[in-house]
Amino acid sequence: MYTDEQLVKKSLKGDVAAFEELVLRYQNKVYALAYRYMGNEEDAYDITQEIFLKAFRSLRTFKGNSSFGTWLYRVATNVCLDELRRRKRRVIPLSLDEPLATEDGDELEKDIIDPSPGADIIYERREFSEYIWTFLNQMKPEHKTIIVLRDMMDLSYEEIAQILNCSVGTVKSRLNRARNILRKKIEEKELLF
Amino acid sequence: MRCNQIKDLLSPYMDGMTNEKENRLVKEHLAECPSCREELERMQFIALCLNKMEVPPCPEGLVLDVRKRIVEEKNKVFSLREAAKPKRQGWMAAGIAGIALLIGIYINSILPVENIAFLWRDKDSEAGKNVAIVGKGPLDRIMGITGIGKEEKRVAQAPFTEDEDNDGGNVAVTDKETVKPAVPGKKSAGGIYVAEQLAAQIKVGDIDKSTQEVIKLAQASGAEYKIVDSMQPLSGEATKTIELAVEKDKADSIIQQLSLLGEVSDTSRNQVSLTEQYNKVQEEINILNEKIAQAEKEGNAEAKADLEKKLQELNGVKNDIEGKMAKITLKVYLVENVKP
Ligand SMILES: [Zn+2]
Repeated sequence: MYTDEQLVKKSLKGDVAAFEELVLRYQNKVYALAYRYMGNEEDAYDITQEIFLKAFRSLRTFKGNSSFGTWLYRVATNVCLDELRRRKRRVIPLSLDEPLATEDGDELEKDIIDPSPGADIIYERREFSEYIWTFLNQMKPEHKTIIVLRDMMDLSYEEIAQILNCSVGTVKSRLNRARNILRKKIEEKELLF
Repeated sequence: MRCNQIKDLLSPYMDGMTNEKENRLVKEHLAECPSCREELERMQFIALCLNKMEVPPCPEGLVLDVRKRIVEEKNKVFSLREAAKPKRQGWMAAGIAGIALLIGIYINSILPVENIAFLWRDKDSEAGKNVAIVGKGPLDRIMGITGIGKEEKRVAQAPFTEDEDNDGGNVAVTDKETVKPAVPGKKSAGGIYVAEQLAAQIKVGDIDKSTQEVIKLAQASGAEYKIVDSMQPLSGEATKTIELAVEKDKADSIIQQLSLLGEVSDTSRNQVSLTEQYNKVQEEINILNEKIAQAEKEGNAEAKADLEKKLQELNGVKNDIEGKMAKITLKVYLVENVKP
């Protein structure tokens, strides 16, 4: 049984089986992260592939300063963020004269499809989770990221700080901000509470 | 304590990330403030809901799909005949034909020089002039005499010849008919002499860092290198073009490592035929040798010395050509991937 670090070294030397062992080890975690970002299986699977491809290409940049898992999460987060930003740019607002809702001063998010299902639909849902997630999905990629990592992936502040390459203090304040934006978004609908 | 100050502590408080003093402040405030209590409960509820969102298991076959995707990048990666059939058996056996196979080192196509020039955006190349394949020096003069640029466009070659050690089942590209390899130094009339050049653009995060990495890589493997230029394309991104002249047997590992620098695209493979030049030089040498023998027979020492000087020069040219054939030129076009 090799450690992750040993497998990375072997991969870099051309041992493909070693890289595939790493894929096997982390596929569920990476897929879970991708799914929580994308919200559906098809996109999650595509993104998971992208993540491992990106990891393979940038394997040389893994210097062992963090665990391989943390490094891989970083790669994964970057791929997801890039994808979210790419999608966001692609969306054209349906109505140009509708003022963009600013939230917290800097969030312009009206270009994202507003799910706003009626109350009856919500009660039909077996899970609130998916419903809450649709609000999360409307958030700025940076805010969505921190909530996915903390509240969905159960990662510690320290791990998140390593993944996002920032301080624990930044994680703390960004998470506080993101959670409050999300809460207000949901409260605005006056459906849940 | 005012609500506003407490509200900023609620998020870390629910994660147990507040210190003792903050903890106490929050608890005291919550005991007497229903508004903050409610806010905390809502945040906790939202976090709990998200936490409970069901995630299906990762579909089976991811490993295979990832492998396939990596192999499919063949068109984005340098192509290299030598890597297609490594001489080192152990390397091939080591693991599904090694990373070179995994990243799909693949002979894409042999492009005419004009295409190469376009792909490489080589500022130095003027119309009709050969692209970088030959340096300044005696070789240029020979090129001038014989006229190079008669490269043929050939059909795409599949890179991987069947090999019993090759169990990389996903690589469907096999073709036994590969280009006849160049044989430096051999002068059989039917010999094919080619200088090989591979080029690719690599998107990197930090151009200076990556440039240093390429240089380090070159130095570590004893390859000659030069930074060709740093022209700015229209889009204004930072670029750097580095040319490496590498030993053929080291090329596959260098390419492998270069490919890990970033996203590879715009690749091209080019073979410039040196056959004509080589034969021409060889012919000249033969003629000179005859003349030298003649001069010796006639006892004309002055003419002989003069001819020998020319012979020396021509041998230098011949060596130069052989040098070109013994090495592969890798042209690396680094582009900084500017984050939006
Ligand atoms: Zn209060």
